[in-house]
Amino acid sequence: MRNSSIVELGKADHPENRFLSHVRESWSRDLSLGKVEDLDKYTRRVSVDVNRVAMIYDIAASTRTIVCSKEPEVAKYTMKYSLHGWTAFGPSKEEFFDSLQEKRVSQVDKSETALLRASHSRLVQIPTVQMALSPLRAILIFVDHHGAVRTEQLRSLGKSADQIGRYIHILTTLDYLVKEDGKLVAGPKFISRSDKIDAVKVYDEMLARVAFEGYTFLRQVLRFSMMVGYMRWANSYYLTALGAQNKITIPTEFLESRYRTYYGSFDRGELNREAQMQRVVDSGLMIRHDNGITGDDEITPKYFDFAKQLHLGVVA
Amino acid sequence: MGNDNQGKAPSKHALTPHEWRSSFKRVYERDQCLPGSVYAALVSADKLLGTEGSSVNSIQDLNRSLGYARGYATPCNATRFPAFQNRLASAGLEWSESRDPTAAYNQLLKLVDSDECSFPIVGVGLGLCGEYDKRTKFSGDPSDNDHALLILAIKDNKVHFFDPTYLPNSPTDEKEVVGLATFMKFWSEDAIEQYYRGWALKLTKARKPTATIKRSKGVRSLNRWLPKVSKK
Repeated sequence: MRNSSIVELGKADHPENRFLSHVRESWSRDLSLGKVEDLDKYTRRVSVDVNRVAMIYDIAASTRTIVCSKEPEVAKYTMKYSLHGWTAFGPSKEEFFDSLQEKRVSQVDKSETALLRASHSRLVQIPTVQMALSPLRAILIFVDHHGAVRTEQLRSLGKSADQIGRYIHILTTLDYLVKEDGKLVAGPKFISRSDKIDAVKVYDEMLARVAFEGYTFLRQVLRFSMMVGYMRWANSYYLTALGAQNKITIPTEFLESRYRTYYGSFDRGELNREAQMQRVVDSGLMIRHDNGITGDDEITPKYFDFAKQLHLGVVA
Repeated sequence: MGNDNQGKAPSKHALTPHEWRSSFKRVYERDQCLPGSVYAALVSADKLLGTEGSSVNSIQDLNRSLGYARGYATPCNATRFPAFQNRLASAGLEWSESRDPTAAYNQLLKLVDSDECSFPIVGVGLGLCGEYDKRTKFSGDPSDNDHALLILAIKDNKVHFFDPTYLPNSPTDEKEVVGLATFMKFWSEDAIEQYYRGWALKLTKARKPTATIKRSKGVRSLNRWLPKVSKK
């Protein structure tokens, strides 16, 4: 972080208090003073903490939970004394909020990981996601039936050479396939139909692992954007519920507000927003209850467990 | 209701606190408490003073002009921001504040009773939420955060207020009331920022109106979740 902010604090016994007043007055009143260190007689270092508050309503239980937590040492400032008094140097307001936003993004990503772990087998059963993953499924089925597939045979999928290369990449990265004499054959992680009776379940299980292990790849390289929408809406619910540590029912408007907090504004219009939210409900990742939105009985406790393992805190 | 009573001067006492609350909007997030309170103050000013603050300003406009950053409460100096002052001025309003810790209570009484200004906005310790609503559970320490409310009435040693972040659970829910002693504690002792101890803000009619500013379409309010009497 660049030291681009300079605040003149004048002469004072406790310049850190003046600095705190400055940031609370013009940045946010949720800021507080953290550690104050005397580096020498004329130099002090202070850290600024953020007091995060999330107010979470459960319309089914008619309760609300106010979660207060501290984000320590978001930024550090050095205060130096000169003839004119104290001056504080450190990150500007924009840099300070960018740093907070980065922390939030990292927490939201962590939550998506926890949710993927808890729901990936459900995710691949959603028709649109199935459709997106269908080329991968077709490759797995072909290898299962014929023992191998030549790369030129994959052209019949009707995809570009680049796209086919990416499918091969993800399936070989996950050890489902290996290259052998110009062909692709079953790799060490490939689950053969003979190991299990229900073929659909076998492929679903493999694709669930693709979705889980290769989510970022699917999202960013294969541009499976429909999965992103599902994950974002569901994550907005589960991350909010995590604050209450309970399967809560929240108003749809509140879910939307949480979505905006976690991911920024929804830029595809009101109709698309409603439709996408409804598709997530139809998929069973979230449930409509008491005119609000609640979580799935199976996914919720799993998500809380994974979130705990990932040391995921409340994201206000 | 205020302007609806033909021939009668609009008055704060013309409506009960419960009736006043039903004309305000509820918001989603705790950190929107100031924009939510300001919006309610605008509604009250419009009814009492005949201004157009709530029709030319959405909560989203107020969020923006008060420097609201999603996830973090507005700055302490938010009401001094020129963008906010311009929005008020374009609606024919201006704000002023009183903060005399020794005479704060008397000042507040005057503001609550006066029909020449909006209902006053105050800053209190966030812990007050647990005092008036026993359904509220806290996780973590609320003492490091403050909260903005609109004061509607002070009578019989009770303070009636509007908390824009509170979602009532029945049509007759009148939980937004606390004892005077409790209120004074959270207002004059527990407000985190010393500046806000005993602080109150009011809106009055501007002496000279300025050019108008357009209203933005805001996020829908939580009002449709409020219980409706007629359906039960």
